[in-house]
Amino acid sequence: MSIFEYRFYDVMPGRLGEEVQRMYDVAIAPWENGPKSLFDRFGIPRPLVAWTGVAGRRQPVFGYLLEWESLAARDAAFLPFWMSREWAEFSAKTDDGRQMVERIDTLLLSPSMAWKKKKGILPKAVGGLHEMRCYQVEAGHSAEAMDYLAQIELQQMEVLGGEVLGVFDVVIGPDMPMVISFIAWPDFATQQGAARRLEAEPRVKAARESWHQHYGRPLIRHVEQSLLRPTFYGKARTNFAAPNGDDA
Amino acid sequence: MIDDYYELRIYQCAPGRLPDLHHRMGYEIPPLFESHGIPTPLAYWEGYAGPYNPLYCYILRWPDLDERMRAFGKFYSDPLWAAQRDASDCGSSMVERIDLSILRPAPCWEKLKVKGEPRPVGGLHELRLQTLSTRNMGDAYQALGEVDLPYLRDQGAEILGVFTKWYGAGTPQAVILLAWEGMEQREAAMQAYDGAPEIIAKRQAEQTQFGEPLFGRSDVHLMIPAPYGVAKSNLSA
Repeated sequence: MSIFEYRFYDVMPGRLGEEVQRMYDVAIAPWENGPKSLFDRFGIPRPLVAWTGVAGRRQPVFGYLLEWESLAARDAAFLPFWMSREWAEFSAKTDDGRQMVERIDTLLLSPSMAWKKKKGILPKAVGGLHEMRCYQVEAGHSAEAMDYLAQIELQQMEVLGGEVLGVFDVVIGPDMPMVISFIAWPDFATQQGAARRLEAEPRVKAARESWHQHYGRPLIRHVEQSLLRPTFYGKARTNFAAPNGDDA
Repeated sequence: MIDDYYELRIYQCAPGRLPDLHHRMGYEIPPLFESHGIPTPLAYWEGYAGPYNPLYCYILRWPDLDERMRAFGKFYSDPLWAAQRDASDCGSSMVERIDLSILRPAPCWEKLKVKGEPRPVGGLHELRLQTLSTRNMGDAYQALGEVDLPYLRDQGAEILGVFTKWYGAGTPQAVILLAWEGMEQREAAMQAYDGAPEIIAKRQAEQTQFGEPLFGRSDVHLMIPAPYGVAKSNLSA
């Protein structure tokens, strides 16, 4: 049993590169010549992926995903980190007199029923261009909506050249009930072409018509999307497997 | 007297209805617009990358906003339009959300205009809705015109238009339309822009001078021109 934390920062315009570097310096890089990073020292896991925003709302943005055994473990690690002298000094130094991050959204996510993990393959790094799709799900119909996502939409995206990295239910966050999927594409042209072809897919159309007939409204609405580029140190791995450093 | 306005219409299309909407906008609407005195749109776009998905967008130019209100009023009350809309809607609306705004050309646009005969500009287009500080707006536009947009142009962007939002949500806001050859060029440019010493120095100087940043957040929409209405240089008619 694990829980995922998606942290999403509104970075001050012009400072995205610094924010990417700052995360690298605390999460990945050896801290003060020791063998471990500052995150390692405090028991904060390495991010499963770290991104910068390419298109979407409130740019520039920086986002990353963490996986925790429990929320108690999370607070036991993050709180001392935030209170630490190391972080206070390093964040003040790198802020350089002006705040680097203006706002933080923290969402708690749990793996969705619609997430069919890939089986029987070794996890490997998945680069390219990532897409985050947020779906508003009609309350009371989530089983049917998840079935549609898993059997039709997400499956079709894989046929069209995407790789489903993960699908989550939002447990804590805005605009619930909401499901979020992360899909990796080799490039922008493939992503755009797939979106266009998905709109015309007969099974997608049939599902929407059936919802309209039965309920008079869609059970699942695609409400928000953004494109994200993995940072040099934060590529995702298959099924959002934990990083092992081999294929960074 | 002001005689130069632009109307930016951003739609979130209903799922699966973008081909229908293209047909409506590209082929059914133009004669109706013409009959009510609505000018031919300067450009049409679609997009699957950004907050409105699928996005459909177009832009019109008006010399007179009261004339705009009259023309659209006549169009919306035309029984021909109602019949045509109902027929092609097929029981449910093609459009889920609409964001309309009225723009004015930003003074800094003039100096950034492309010289020569207007020509269609293909590639990847970018709509940046850039929030500005409520104070010192003139300085923000000056920075855009003298520092930021020339930098992006040097990185390969063609400036299609620079506007200030006149009516609509989230003002003060600069509305910027850029054209890129493609995604690779755009990403390389944005990466360079983010770390550019002259841009960083400019932001620091602004912070020192004004005690706050001039620029806030941007919503970024990546858009593909629709074949029946590709924008021309400087959004010329």
